[in-house]
Amino acid sequence: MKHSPSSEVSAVSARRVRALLLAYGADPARWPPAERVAAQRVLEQWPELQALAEREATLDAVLDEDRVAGDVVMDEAALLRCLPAPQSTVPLRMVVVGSPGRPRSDAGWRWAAPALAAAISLGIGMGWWLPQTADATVAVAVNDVEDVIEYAQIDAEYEEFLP
Amino acid sequence: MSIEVISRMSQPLADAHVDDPDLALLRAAGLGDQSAALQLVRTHAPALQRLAWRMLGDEHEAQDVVQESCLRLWRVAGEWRPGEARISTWLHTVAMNLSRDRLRRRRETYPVESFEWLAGEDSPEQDMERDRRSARVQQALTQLPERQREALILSHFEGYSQSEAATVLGVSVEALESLLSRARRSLRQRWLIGENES
Repeated sequence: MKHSPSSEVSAVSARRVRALLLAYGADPARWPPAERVAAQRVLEQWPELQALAEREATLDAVLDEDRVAGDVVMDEAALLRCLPAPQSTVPLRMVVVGSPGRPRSDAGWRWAAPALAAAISLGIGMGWWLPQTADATVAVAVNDVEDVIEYAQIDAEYEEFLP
Repeated sequence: MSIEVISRMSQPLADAHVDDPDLALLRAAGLGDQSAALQLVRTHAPALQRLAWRMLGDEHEAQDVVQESCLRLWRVAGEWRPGEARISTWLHTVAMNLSRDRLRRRRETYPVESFEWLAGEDSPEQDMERDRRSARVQQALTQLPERQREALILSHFEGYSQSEAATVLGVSVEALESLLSRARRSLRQRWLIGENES
């Protein structure tokens, strides 16, 4: 700074105002609130700082040509996708089998759907499996009779079985 | 969450307040209240998206960053400790770090020099010039050193207070001012502003 308009204090403040201009630009609204009023007073006293402020205002104007701020359109569907999953309001002990909590009259209904599904599956499985089992049983029975006849033919004590 | 974010979040924060206006909403969201969560997201998502968009130069990537930031918030909602960080500051820190991670991955794929802003290609004629100037600013931002760019985005474009911006960046206010001064000097030199002045 070439000259000091008022005092030593204002000279120190002038350095600080210069630092504020270089860091935050010419708009006092961007300066730290605690220093804003005092810095503006100092700025009014220093023509060199005013010239610096003009230069920084030019840079601010160029920066403010950025349109991103005005163009942001939020994707509402994307916002909804990132919401947390709602949590169950039923305490955990209520759904744990064998928990020591007080029994609830409707606790058994929780198993109704799985039990029904299991019963249907079992029924379909038995229906598929049983006829094959019956055929196999008959086949085994027939084989057994033939074996007995065969053994009878070998063993004379079973003559009654001879044809 | 990255180690960097965790280490920053564990530090005492200068702007931490127990009376965080978002705290009640976060608590409700942590219990599964989707309307509270949506209100939180609607409040902060636009600023997060601007931040990520300016960092990454890509709107869709910025949306992904917003979503990921919010998902991380829901994960910690139940364990949130009031007084350690403002929720908005925390969200911006996470979004900043996610953007950094994406930039690093992008640099591994192709160099920064090949990254170009494509603005105004399909705009009406009257918007072409504005788009061109906007693209010029955005391209200049991408070519600043990372920390300088982050400081400028938070302080100049997002209007963060000095302490908030310093907190998000994990630096002192003095260091923030140094980053800002260097960023602005680079831009002045780039655009030849005040070149004929002493």
